Amino acid sequence: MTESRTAKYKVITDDVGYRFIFYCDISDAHVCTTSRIYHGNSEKEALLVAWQTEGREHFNRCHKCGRWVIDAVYNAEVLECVECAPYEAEPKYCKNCGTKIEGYFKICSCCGKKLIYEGSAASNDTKGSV
Amino acid sequence: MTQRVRFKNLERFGFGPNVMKKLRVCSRCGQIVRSRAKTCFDCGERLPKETLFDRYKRKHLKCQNCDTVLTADSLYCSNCGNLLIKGEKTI
Ligand SMILES: [Zn+2]
Ligand SMILES: [Zn+2]
Ligand SMILES: [Zn+2]
Ligand SMILES: [Zn+2]
Repeated sequence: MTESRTAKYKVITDDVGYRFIFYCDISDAHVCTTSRIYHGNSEKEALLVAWQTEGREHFNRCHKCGRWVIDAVYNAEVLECVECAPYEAEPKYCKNCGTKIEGYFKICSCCGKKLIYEGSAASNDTKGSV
Repeated sequence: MTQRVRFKNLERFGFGPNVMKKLRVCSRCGQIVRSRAKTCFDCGERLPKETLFDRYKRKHLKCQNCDTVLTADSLYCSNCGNLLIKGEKTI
């Protein structure tokens, strides 16, 4: 997984230090502008402190692609962004073999494949450890 | 749980398709807009018609028959059973 350490940002620099504006990696929505001015030996150093202090809490990290996104574009059911994992309807047919599904099943009785994607964490049978 | 109830529950917490359908984002300043306003109240830029849901749909495979958004590995539509014609990702 390629994990970016912070979400997209813009920096406002002046004599005293840095302020950061954080954006959602998918929707490009403006999520927050830091209320404090951050200092550090470099912009990078200040950025990481600002991110931990004020930015991070407004975001969700996609467990598949590592991008930082707002709630609206986060599939909370599988802990991935909606680009990695679209919301799936209750299956009426198997998406692999097309068999009609009657009732609630997780696995197709015909081809044995999962009817619904459960996230990258679930696919290697580590479900519950997230 | 029916899909409608499921999506309603997600919406209560700020997640899900129903939320995406209500939001647009200003392409200039990133302001999130919930209203039907034509221009951004923050920077004055003309707002896109496209909601976050429209953008989401554009990124994914959809059933040519019932327009359901599907995972990329789908061969059949899980909603109507239609056999998907791949390589012809509908826009
Ligand atoms: Zn992702
Ligand atoms: Zn099947
Ligand atoms: Zn704007
Ligand atoms: Zn369909």
